[in-house]
Amino acid sequence: MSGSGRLSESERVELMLCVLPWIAARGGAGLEDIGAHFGADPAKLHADLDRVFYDVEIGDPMTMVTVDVDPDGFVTVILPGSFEEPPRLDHTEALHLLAAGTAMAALQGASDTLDPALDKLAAALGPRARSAVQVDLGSGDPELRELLRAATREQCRVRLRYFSWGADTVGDRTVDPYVLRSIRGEWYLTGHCHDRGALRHFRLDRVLAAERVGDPGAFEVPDDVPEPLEGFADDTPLVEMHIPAGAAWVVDSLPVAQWEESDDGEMITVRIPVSNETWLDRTLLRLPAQSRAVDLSTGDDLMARRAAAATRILDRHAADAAAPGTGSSGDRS
Amino acid sequence: MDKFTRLLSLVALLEQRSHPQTFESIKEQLRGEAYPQTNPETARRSFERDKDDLLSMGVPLVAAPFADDPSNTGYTIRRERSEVSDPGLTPAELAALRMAARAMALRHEGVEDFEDATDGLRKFGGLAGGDGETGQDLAAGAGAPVDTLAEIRLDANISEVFGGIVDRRPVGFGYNGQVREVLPRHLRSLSGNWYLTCDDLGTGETRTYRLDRIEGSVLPLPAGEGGPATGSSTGSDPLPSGRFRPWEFGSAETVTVQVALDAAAAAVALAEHPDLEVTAEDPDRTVFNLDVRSPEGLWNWLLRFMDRAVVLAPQHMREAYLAHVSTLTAEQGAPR
Repeated sequence: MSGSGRLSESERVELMLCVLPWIAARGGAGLEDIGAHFGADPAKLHADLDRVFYDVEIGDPMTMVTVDVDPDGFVTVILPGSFEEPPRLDHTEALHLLAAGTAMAALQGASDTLDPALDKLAAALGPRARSAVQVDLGSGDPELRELLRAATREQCRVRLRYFSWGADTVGDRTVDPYVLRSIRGEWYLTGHCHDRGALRHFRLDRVLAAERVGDPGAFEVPDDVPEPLEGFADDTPLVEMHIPAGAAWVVDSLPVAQWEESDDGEMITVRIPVSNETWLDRTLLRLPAQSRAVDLSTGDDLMARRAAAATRILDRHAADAAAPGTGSSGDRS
Repeated sequence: MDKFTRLLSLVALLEQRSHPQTFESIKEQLRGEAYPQTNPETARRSFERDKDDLLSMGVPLVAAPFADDPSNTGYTIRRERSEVSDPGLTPAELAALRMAARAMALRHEGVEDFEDATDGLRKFGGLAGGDGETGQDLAAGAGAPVDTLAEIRLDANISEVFGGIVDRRPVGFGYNGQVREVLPRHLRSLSGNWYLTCDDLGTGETRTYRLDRIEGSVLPLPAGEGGPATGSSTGSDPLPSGRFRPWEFGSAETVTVQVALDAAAAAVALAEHPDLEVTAEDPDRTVFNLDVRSPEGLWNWLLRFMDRAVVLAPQHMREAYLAHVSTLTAEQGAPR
C-alpha cells in the first residue's frame, strides 16, 4: 500500500480487510478515529463501508455483513464468521519493519518504546527473528555526526577539516550543511562548499574535525538536494579494465558502465567512468597481476600509471627506513 | 460485480465455509455475478488474478487438490502459524516503529520507487499520528518517506532468505557456479551490501555470502532437508561486531603486523574500525597492531592508502608487502 490518498481498488480492499475487524473488536468507532488510525480519508472510508454493506455477497442470504454508520459518523459492524481477523503481516512486511526499526535503534540508542516494539515484533515472528537482521548505516564518530546533525537542523555554517579521498589532500572547507543522511551504508553531509563555490558531498568518515561557525539560520536549504552516488556525467572519461574473472570482486563497488565476459569465461572487461586520477591510482593498485587497463580517451596503457603509484609506495618505505626513529622496527615475531 | 466487491465477497465466502470450495462452487455461490464470463477459461483467469491479489495483501488463501478427487482443486482461507499475528504493540510502540519506518527509505536496487515500510503497520492500525501529523497527513503524503535519515538498499532475494531465518527453513542458491544448500541464520547490511551468515548443510560449517553475488533466485528447500545442521542451532546468534576486516579472513597462522598510517589515513581507518589497536600516536602518524591471517587481505586494504601507509614490522611481512608492491611495478617491465 502506497500511503497515498488515491488508493487503488486493491489497496481499498486491503484497507477494508484491516478496518472491519478493527471496528468489530472495539464494538464500533467514529469515522474520524478510524481515518486517523488507518491513515485514510473518512469520507472515502464511509463510501467503502457502504459498499461493503450493500454489495458484498456471502452466498447465504441468512448471513450478511452488517455495517451501520449513524448520523454522527459512528460505525458499528456485525461480521458473522467473516472479516474477523485482519490480513497478517507477511515476511516482506516484517522484514521491512525490522530492518527500519533495527537501523533506527542502532542510531538513536536505547529507547523505551522502539526496543520493546522490536522485541514484540520479533517475538511474534519467532525466536530467531530479533537477531535476524542488522543494518549498519555507516561508520564515523557519533559525536561528529551529532554536531553536524544539529548544525544541519539549525542551518548553521560549519568548518570541516576534510580528507579529500579523490584528491588525496587534507584541507579546510567552509560549508552550509543542507542534509545529513546515510546512503548505501555510508554517512554523507551534503551542502554548499564556499571554498569550491558549489554543492559538495562529504563522507563523514573522512571528516577529520568539524566546528560550527556563525549563527543559526545562516542560509536557506534548497528544495531539491541531490543525493551522492547519483552517477556520472555522460562525458566522463572511461577506462577499460581487463580482469581475471575470479577477481571480479575488485570492481564490485565501482560504478561499472559496461561489463562483458570473455567467451571462455576466464576474463571480464569492464568500462568505468573515472573523474579523479587518485581514485584511478587506488583502483589500479588493487587489480590482480594479469589485469590490463586502458584510458579510452587517450588510448594510453594505464599499467605505467600503476607502476608509478607503486613506486611511490616503495619510495615511502625506503624513506621511512632511512629516517631516524621512524623506520622499520625489525622482526618482532 | 466490480473488483472491490468481488474480492471482499470472495474473502467473506471462503471464511464462512469450513471446507475448501471449488471454483465452480464459488462461482455458483456468488450467484454468477463475480465471474460472469461465458468462456470458462476467461472466468478462471479472472479468478486466478483475484487469488493473486488477495495473496499479495496477506490473505492466506490456500489451494489444494481434494484428497478423494485429485483432479479438482479446493480453495480455502487458512491462518498459518508462519504469519505474524498482532504482536500487541502499544500506541507508543506503534508510533516508534512508524517513525523508524518513515525515517528509513527502503528501495530495491535499480528500482525508482521506495518500499513503504509502514504498510505492515497498517495491519496493526499503526498509522495513527504521533509526531505532529495525522492520519490525514499520511493519507495525503508522498510515497517517499518524509525526513529520510537513511536509504537502505534491498536485495531481490532478501525476503526469501529472511523467511528462511524466521521459519528455520533451509534455502538453496547458486554462488560462484556451485549450488549451496544452507540454513540461513542472519542478515547484515554493511556498506550498502547485504551479507547472509548461514550453516552449510553439507559441511555444517558457518559461511557468509553476499546476497548480490547470488546467481539467480534463492529457493526454499523442504524443511528438514540436508542433514544434521537443520534445526541444530537454537536461540539467537551473536553478530560479528564492527566492519569486516579483510586481513582477518584467512586460514594462515595469525601474525601481528605493525602498520603506520599518516594522520589523515589513520582518521579514516579509525572511523571504519574504531577499536583498532593503536600502539603509538603523534601528530604525523599513528601506529597500529593488526592481527593478520590473510596477508593478501591486508595488502589490499593498505593499498587504498597508497603511500600514506607503511608496514613497519615484522620484517618478513614488511618484505612480503614490498615484494607484492614491486610486482605492480614489474608488470610493465621495470622490476625494482
